[in-house]
This record gives sequence, structure tokens and C-alpha cells, in this order.
Amino acid sequence: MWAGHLLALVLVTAAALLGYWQLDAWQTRRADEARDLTRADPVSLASVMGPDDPFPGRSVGQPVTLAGTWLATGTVFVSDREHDGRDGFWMVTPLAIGAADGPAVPVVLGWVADPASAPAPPQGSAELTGWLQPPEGTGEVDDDPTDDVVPQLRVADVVQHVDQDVYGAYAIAQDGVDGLPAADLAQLPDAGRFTAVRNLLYAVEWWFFGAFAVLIWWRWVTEQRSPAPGVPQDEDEDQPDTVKT
Amino acid sequence: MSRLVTAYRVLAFVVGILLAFCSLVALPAKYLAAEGGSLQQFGESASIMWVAHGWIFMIYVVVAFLLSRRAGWSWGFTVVALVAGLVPLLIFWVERRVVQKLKAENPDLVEVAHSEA
Repeated sequence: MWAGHLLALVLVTAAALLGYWQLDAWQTRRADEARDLTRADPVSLASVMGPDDPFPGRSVGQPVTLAGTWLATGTVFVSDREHDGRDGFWMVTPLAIGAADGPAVPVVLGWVADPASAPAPPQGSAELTGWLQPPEGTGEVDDDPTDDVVPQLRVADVVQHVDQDVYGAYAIAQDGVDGLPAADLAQLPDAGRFTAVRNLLYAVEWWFFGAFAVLIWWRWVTEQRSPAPGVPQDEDEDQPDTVKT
Repeated sequence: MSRLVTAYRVLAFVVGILLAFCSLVALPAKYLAAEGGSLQQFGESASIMWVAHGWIFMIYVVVAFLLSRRAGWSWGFTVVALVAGLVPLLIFWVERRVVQKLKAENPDLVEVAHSEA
């Protein structure tokens, strides 16, 4: 009797743990794949999107090469950005792609603790690699629209600071510019729908077996209490299938 | 033969085939064949059948359990019948034992019924 209870407990616990393990593997492998996309070889910005295109959903986190001219006067600081657990700002300077009056991509140069201690924005032309990110925007209110600190990296805000068209995207410089620590990637790409789906299926399987073990356990206990006299199906509501063919 | 018994036999057969294929073909190919070779690749891809085995085994377990209660098997035999789907080739033997046992103990379940339409 005790052995039976013990066996049931062990089986149920094992099934639950194995299910969690598979679920965890599923999540880990998806996160890994998402990170892998950000380690892809950089491609030119033009091959991903044009200045007037909507953000290409599949290219979240895609490394792109950007070449152009810094628009130092368009520099803004985005508030509430963490780095190594410290609260601070992103320093963002738009980069005019191609000609100096070409459409601009806001580039996150890196993280600063305080805009007052930030280095002077870069000047001249530059070529760099950054992760492409869709613009932010959840309608957070900029409590002081006149300064250079913005709550979010929105195209509509950046446009106020430059004289040209702005891409519907921003880039995070892979290596911080001017010695700034590189900003952390805000948005990772989505893993493919079927990535590691096998682990998810296994997780469901394990939990099913765990639940089924509970059912068997319960049946066993009920039958131990009132031994069914030979024909146990009378009290069995689990078997509608009594049709004979 | 009752539908339950037919379902049990079909499921036992499918689970048995899948398990034999996975454990005796796909598994050795994946782990014993030369790394990167076409046989190893095959084993890698064929391993997806484990998922099929697992899901069909879930149905098998339910059906086998229902049958065990219908036929009034002892708990020991019930557990053997359930676990058979996890030991390669065992299930083929268990399936034969089950049919024999049913014929001996529950002829109403295995014989062609005349009583009901």
C-alpha cells in the first residue's frame, strides 16, 4: 500500500519536473535563436529598408552597416535606460545616410549616467555597425519638450531635432561610440514559430503522463477501499465506450 | 470485437512499430553513426518520430487503462500493459498476452457480438 503511494508520488513528481525541464529547454532554445540573429553578418541598411519604408518586422536586431554624416545638433538623450543595473540615459545622435542632408537614422551611441557628463557628440562622417531596432512609442508624455531629454526613442521626437527625413527605425551601435559603453539591445527578434517545438510537445506529454498517473493513483485508491466485485465497470464513469461492434 | 479492444490492438501495434523504429533505428543512427554522415543526418531527422511515439503512447495509455478496468485486470498486469509502450518490442508480446487473457477471461469483449446492433 505504502509502496504504491510512494511510486505514484515519485512518478507524478518526476513527470512534473521533466515537463518543466522541457519547457525550460524550449524557452532557452528560442531565446538562443533570437540572440543568434543578432550575431548574423551585418548587411547594408539599404538592403533592409529605405527611408520611407515601414520597419521590416523580420529584421529586428539585424546588424546593419551605416555610413554617413553625424548630425551632432540633433543629439538627444533617452531617459530611464539601464546598463549593468544602473539607471541612466542613451545618448542618441542621428546619422545622415549618404549625403549630409540625406535621411537620418538615429544611432544609439551608448549609455551615459548623466547627460551633463556625456562626451561631445561625434562630428564628421562615420561608418559603423549597429543593430536595427523598430522605433519606440507607447505614447509616453515628454514632460519637457524643449530640452534634449526624451522618454522614448520616437521618430516624431527625433524629427524635431534635425532638418531632414528620418528613417522609421533606429540603430544601436555595436561598439559604443566615443568610448561610451554600448547600450543593451532593447528588442530581440522573435524566434521562428517552430523553433524547439519538440521540447514544447515533450513538456505537454510529460504533464499529461503526470496527470494520468494521478488518475490511476486515484482509481487504485478507490478500488483498494471498496474492492470491486469482479465487474468494476458499473461505477466507472470514465468509460462511455461500451458499444460493441 | 469491442471497439475498445480493436483500438487497443491498433494502438499497441503503432506504438510498438514507432518505438522499435526510434530506439533500434533512429537512435543508433544518431549516436553511433559517423558524425555528420548521411546516416547520422538521417538519425537526426528521424528522431522527430519520438514525438509521434510519445503522443500516440498517450492515447495508448488511456485506452489500455480503460480496457484494464473493463476487463478487471489486476493492478500488476495493468501496469505492465501501460509500461509496455516504453520498452522496445515488449509491447508486441504484451499485446498477444492481452488478447489471450481477454479470450480466456472476457470472451464478451473479444468475440464478435451477436447481441447488440
